Amino acid sequence: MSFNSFDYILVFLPAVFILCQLARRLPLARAPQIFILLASLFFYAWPKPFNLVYLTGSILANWLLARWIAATPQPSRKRILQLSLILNIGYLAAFKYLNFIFGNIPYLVHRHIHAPELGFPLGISFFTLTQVMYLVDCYEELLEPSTLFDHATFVSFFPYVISGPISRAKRIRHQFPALNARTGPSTETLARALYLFSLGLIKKVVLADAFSIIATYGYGNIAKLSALEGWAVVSAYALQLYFDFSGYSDMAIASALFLGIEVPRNFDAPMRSLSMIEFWQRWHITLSAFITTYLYTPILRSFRKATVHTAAVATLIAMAIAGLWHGANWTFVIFGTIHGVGLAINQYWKKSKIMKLPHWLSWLVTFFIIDLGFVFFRARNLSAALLLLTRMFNPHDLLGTSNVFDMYGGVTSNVIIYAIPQIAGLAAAFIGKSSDQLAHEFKPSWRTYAVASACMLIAMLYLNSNVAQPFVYFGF
Amino acid sequence: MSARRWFILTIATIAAGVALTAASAYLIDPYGMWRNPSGRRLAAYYSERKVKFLLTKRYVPTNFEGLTIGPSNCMTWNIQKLTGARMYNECQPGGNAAEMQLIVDQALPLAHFKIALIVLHPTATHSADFHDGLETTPATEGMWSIHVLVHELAYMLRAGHVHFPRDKTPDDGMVLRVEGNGLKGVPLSDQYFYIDPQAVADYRRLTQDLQSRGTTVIYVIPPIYQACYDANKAAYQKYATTLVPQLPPAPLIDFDGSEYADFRSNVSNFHDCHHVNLNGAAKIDAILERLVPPLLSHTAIAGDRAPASRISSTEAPQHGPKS
Repeated sequence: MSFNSFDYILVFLPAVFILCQLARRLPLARAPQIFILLASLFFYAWPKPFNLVYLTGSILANWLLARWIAATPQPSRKRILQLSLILNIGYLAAFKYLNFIFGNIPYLVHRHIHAPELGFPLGISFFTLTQVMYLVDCYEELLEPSTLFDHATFVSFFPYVISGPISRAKRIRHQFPALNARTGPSTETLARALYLFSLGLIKKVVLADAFSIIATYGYGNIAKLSALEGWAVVSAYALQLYFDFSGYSDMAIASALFLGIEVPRNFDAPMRSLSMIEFWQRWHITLSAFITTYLYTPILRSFRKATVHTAAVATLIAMAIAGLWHGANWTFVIFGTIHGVGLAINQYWKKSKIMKLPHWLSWLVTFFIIDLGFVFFRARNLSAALLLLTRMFNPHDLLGTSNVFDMYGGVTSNVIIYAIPQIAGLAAAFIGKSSDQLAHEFKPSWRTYAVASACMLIAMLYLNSNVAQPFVYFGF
Repeated sequence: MSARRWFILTIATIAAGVALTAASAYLIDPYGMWRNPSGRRLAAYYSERKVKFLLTKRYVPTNFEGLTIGPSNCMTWNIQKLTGARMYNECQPGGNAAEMQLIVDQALPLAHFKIALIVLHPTATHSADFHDGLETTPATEGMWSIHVLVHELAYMLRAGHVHFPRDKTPDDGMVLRVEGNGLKGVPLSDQYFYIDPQAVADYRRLTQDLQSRGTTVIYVIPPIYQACYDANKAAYQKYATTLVPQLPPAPLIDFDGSEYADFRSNVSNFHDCHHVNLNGAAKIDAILERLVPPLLSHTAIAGDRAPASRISSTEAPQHGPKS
């Protein structure tokens, strides 16, 4: 069940909200939490019930591991953590990377090995990361191990189980008493949740999908593109991904808010970033936090001395791993490496105080690197990415526009349906406030009422016109 | 404004907005889905694919006794009536067998089709993928969607005597204009002639479904402008002789046969390589009016070029085309 489906918007979410409110009135202690856990498991099992085995298996195993870590003194404690991390990475690799690893073995031993196709449990990348953070936090004694009930509720919580925001147990678990309280969320919180949900829905259904038709056409017809069209296609994909994932995150945060739980924000107008460092402070913020805390810092610590050079190496390694986390393909590794190089140069530039670029140039350079990364992120394989790069820097066909009409499916009505949202999307991404800012500044007024109503109505209109696409991050 | 009032007002406005649009869609009913479509003549805006899909739910089976089914090759064919049956043109831009089966399937429970012309062309069989989300189009799209909104907008403009600058798909499905690719004979890729087994299975099931309901199915190989045909002659012939034997027996009219060479060589009949213009469409109409009535009494017809004999060898004896 996707957030951008009528099943979710009109049935699941309202039903969970109403039943949770009713559960608050039951004499049973923690009835709302029991109900939320059941609803989350139902939500997760909805597309493919067997996946529940993978999720619950992972929850149970990590709950046991955390208790084992907590009950063991050093130095064995560290070994158990290492074992836990290997098990989690192995679990993720079994579903995501096995065929990638075996696929690359022939280059070394000239022998083809095929791993069995195990399928891809939805959200495995996210719930595995969540639990890795939980285990490390337990190891560092930042957190007491949870009860199985709390741990299962935290990991499987339906707003973020499939695609984040990646949340830390500490932050969510301390809100469970509020979840179980009789009062429930205030009407201010509910109004803010509805406002944020409407913004997220329109970002996904109208804005992201409007850019996706350009990206889909462009990446499917790379050889035909002029340099200008190549840049337009990659920029359209960057905007599609931004609106898609930030829209998803907004809906996830809003869904949790309806139940009185605050999950961390994930995006903050990243397209306006003036540096790569700033970009990663604004783009997929929860993943950035994970990379910084659980990858970059341990890698940096493993060097004897923290210098600009070791920091650069740590950044490169951490970003390449983060790239690979997105998918089993060299294109993702290169995407991560490009960002790693960008960040390392940015750190060096900042530290050395070489010179301060004008704002417009900083933005342009940053957006150039972002686009460069997305060439690899979206391309089917390395050769497609390289072909696109050659088109983007093709001096013989710089300003051709012969594909523009075809990008809209060759249908005039599509130009109207998609061009208006695209213009609105450009304004929202580069000029307007982020939805996170808007939600924080939210005040019940006629203006916000008009915005929320219009966003919901327009988004539902597009949704029922069968033009909505699945979320991009479901594939990761 | 209090948060409580804001929340209730917003939910109420969303509900009212949906209800209002749905109510006006019910009144206008552009696809004949909600009120009795009998006797109505519904020309609709938006892409032909969606329009024809939605109209085929009730409007087409209620008002027509015959179908022309195929990819864009036959979109411009203007067959109003054939052997007394009012014909609806279901031809789709880029339409393939899977989509045609999907579209026609929804009409069958209500329909009493006397005749169906199924156009055989490579674009219909080189993939069985659905496009434009046809396979997931809910009936509610006829109640609340962008295209219904376009109709509502046009309705309001008309009420204000303002011209709405959009073409409609006519009430019999025949489309006057198609995107043209010129008349230059260019060799086409092997991929163009690839026959997807799933598409063949879909064509087969479509034919069988129609035949089992007493519909006379006639296969038609559409005319291709001679220069374009010649540039790919072997591939077209191989395509026809590979595909037709895999389909259920039915008469075949082959416009790529030698007796139609004059028609195919006449540039005034064509919009581009694969699409006839109004002039060509009128001639096709006349030819079909001459050829089809005998077929209803089990007389077989086919082009007389070499592949026809190969095709005829695979036809059932009572329906086999003569060469």
